[in-house]
Amino acid sequence: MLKQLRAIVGEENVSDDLADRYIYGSDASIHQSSPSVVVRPGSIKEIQEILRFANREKIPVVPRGAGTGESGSAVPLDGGIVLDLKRMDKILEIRPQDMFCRVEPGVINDELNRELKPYGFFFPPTPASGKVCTIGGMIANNASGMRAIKYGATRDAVLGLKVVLANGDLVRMGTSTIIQASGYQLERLMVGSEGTLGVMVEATLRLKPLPEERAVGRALFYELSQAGDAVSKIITEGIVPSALELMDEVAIKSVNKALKAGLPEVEALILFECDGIKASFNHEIQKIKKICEDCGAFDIIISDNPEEMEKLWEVRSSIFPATSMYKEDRIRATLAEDITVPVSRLPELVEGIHRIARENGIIIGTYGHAGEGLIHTAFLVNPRVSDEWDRTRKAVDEVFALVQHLGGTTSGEHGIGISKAPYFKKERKELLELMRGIKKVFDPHNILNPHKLMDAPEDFFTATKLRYPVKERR
Amino acid sequence: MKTKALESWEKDILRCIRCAYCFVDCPVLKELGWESAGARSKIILSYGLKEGEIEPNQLIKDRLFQCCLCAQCEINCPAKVKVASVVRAARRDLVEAGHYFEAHRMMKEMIKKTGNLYGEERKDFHYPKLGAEFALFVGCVGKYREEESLKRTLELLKELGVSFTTIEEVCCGGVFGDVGFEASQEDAEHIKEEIKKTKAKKLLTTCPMCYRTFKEDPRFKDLGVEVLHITQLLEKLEFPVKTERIVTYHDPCDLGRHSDLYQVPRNVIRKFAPNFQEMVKNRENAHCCGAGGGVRGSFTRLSINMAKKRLQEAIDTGAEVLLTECASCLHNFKNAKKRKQKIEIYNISEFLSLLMDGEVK
Repeated sequence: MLKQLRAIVGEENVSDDLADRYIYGSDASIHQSSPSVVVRPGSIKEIQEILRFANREKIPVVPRGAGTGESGSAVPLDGGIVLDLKRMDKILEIRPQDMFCRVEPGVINDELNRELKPYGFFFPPTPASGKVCTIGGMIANNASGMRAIKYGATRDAVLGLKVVLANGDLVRMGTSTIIQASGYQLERLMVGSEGTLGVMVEATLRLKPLPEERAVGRALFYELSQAGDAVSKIITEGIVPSALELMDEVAIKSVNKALKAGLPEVEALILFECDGIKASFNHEIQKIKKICEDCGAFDIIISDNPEEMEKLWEVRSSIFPATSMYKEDRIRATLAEDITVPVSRLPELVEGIHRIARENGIIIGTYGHAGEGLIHTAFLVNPRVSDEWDRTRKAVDEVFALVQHLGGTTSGEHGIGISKAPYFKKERKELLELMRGIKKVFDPHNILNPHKLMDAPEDFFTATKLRYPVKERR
Repeated sequence: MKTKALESWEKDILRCIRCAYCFVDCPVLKELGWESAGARSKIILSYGLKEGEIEPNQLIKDRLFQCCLCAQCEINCPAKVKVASVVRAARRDLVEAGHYFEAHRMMKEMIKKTGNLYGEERKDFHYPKLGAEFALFVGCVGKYREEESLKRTLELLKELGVSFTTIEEVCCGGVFGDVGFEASQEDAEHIKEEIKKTKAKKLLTTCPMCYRTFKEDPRFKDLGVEVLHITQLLEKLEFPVKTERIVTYHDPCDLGRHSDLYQVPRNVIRKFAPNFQEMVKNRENAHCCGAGGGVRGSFTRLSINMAKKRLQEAIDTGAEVLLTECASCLHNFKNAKKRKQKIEIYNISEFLSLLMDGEVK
């Protein structure tokens, strides 16, 4: 296998060394499972050749961006080839007149936006990992982030894709037009497919004009339920902020500890942002302020100072890693993570998660894109204690049961991977066979990221080795 | 492999959420491309070694030594993982198990023989002065690799009337903690004795690595004198010269991220260079020159490539002069500079001396 791969991409871009196999066997999830070889292709042609070879030899292929996924989508369950796409990082074309750009999959989200800025446009999805995550990974997992409430998720920005299929054929899906009604929207099928249907090698992305101005507000609440109510009421009023974020006490204390953020340590706070033209969004900001006050908020601060706003969003984007700082003997395990419910059910969700945490004697922090109904769950565990993992697993089961009860979905923006697959399968049980049928059409030999999504193991906890030194395993 | 040093860093290793925010601006990752070269991966490899999930091989060793310990990753890490310390501990365990670089082992031998890292014939700058305010410690890189620059620094101190005395130096040993070896207690005792003999109340260092070593290394806990970097002294002095040229400044990692001395050198520069231009990446976000962490000795090309990139960032500011105050950074930049590149590179103190003598504008 090595010989053929080296012939395709060159010796320097293939490694079966233990160091690389170990590293490329993990991401930001709890899983660890090594590939047989890592390949770093530099062109579409090389990817086609790799897939032709892998398809012929029936070798699994797992595409990978920056490896920032939190569910194990890029962790190979069956060994095989990990296809590191970060070398393909060119912005091919920016066409403001047509409101799109064309990029390779390894382009980093924030770098794309830096390039777009002089044109007065931006690519709206804003994942907290934007400084490092790649466009390919964002499409594969349908990433969104805090501005999705106004600007939509990655799926809303994908106009077209070039995809290398399992047999090595290169196909173009979608268009370069803002709208299209030309049959099956296969480019949309690729969004969220987590590398199971093809390797995305180029994306045509819809751009949005950069808003002229922004303003950000922060409202403090004595009770978490008050903050949840406020979010629900803001949405009910028909206000569309460009961000509406919730942070609970765990999140607040964590960023204070890690970043000296200096946030008041209350039970909950809401961050809201409106953008556009000041004259029009000022009205919205005032309405949000009034709703927050009616729900019991105090010390509401509003700012349009760019430095202050940037600092606040920097703090927000740091919560994920910062929660590992919350308590000395605990670390953040990426579990559940991005559960999403209809916005009106948000207060019940947040309250329910904290009840589940109490009942199981564990800590779960909650924060997230509340305006989208999305809550990030920060499970804080002592990774060496197996009993703690048992209680954590039980809590994860209960959190997902609650989400389903509230009419929500398993993943809002991170994807399914390995950790969420059992719950995804419950949620979509009547669609699993249909999905398997689609997979078979695209990938008859099941080489592309096999045993993920509908085919993933039933027990995420034993699906791979954990990347923690837990002493005993069930 | 049995690990010992890594045990003390278990909390940091487990606290790493593997978010990969540390990939941003990791200079080694930018050069090598493979994820295994990035900061996050060094934590993962350390975890693997500690838990016995992987055993050392050549690439694991290379990856753990392909790190300048610049600590840019620590700035970008919201979980505040002490990446550089974990890497140091991993190196210590690797070396203990016999996985070391010959170049690093040789340094130990060289110091034993000659008192300096390079094994060169001993050079001493004789400025002995009884009752001097400062004992001066210049370090190996300046003395044996950037001698002309160092001479200028000493000239400047004399011209400014600084009361200092040189000592009979041996290497401070700071580099050994970085490359997994134990530094010599005997050498530390010699240095302390030398300083004591001078009766000076303050120790003045020109090298940021030596500065850090004297401040942080437990071997120098009982040093008994105040340790200053030369920029801290220059900040208090006035210079009768100015340059109108556009000047930029590179923050040495040991002075900036590791010692929090960002503003001090800028205050010095401001006194004589009104046309100061910051690089885009400056202060805690300054890209590393690639010389640190033992990388220059064992991965020379990688080291020079990093220096080339940083030098280009200096050139991109439009500056005619790149200043720093670290013999290692200076040396690496000079090695990276192409003839057609017009930018001039100096230590601040060296440039000031040249300016005062009218040898540069």
